[in-house]
Amino acid sequence: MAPIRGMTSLALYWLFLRAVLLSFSGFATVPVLREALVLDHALLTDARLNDAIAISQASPGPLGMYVVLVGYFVAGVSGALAGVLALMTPALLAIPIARLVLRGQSAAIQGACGGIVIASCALMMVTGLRLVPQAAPALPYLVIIVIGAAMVALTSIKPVWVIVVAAGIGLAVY
Amino acid sequence: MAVQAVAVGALVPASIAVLIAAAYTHSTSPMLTAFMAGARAGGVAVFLGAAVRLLKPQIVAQPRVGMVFAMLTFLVAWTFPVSLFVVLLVSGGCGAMWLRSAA
Repeated sequence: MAPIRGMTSLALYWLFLRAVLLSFSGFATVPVLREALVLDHALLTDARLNDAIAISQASPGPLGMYVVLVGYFVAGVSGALAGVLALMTPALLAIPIARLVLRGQSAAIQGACGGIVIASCALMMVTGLRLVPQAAPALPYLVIIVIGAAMVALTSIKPVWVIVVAAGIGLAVY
Repeated sequence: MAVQAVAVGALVPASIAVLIAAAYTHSTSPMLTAFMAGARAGGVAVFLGAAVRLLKPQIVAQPRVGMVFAMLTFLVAWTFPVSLFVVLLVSGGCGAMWLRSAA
């Protein structure tokens, strides 16, 4: 496959797949992908990562759909395809994995899953806090982040409404 | 059948999202830039809120160990330049040892 500024699309697929396989929530992949694509390879900026998260939340589809947009921002259509394939692969493995975890009655496996989920949440918070300076260039944006995060965490509001209202406030600030 | 369902379920929303992203990246409208600046802040808010939402059931199931585990991981990831893959793998191993009673 053609190299994408230092990373082949196969390597991109493998990176996405490893991140998706090691996560139990769509957003749990963000810390790993930010580390690889923003910090290590400089193929993506925090701004583009934030764009991918925001656009994916305003679009139909699963939480992890932002991976497709990250692929698109890194490598165009071939990167987006790598993202789609990485999202599809674990879905095809979901039933045997679920059987292993749920029917195996293995406390160790369930404990391992719990450990990974907790670690993923902690990593998401670290990454989220590191994205704040880029996403909040002025006070109104910081207010959006604080109130929006509290609403998502404490209520059952749909994330798309937070994005829509935040975008509206962005327009108003403009 | 399952492959088709997964393909359609992933491809259709992915195509819509990519079309939106393409329209945004090729646009030079300052209004769209302002719109996306707000949406970006909203995206980070959703991301941080989702972390708390996802963490809550784990903390409820294992209040003390879960909280210590989360805080330790946060501190390690915040302070040291460690590989996050390693953090996740080690967390899985630690969870298998210390969180198994919750299973």
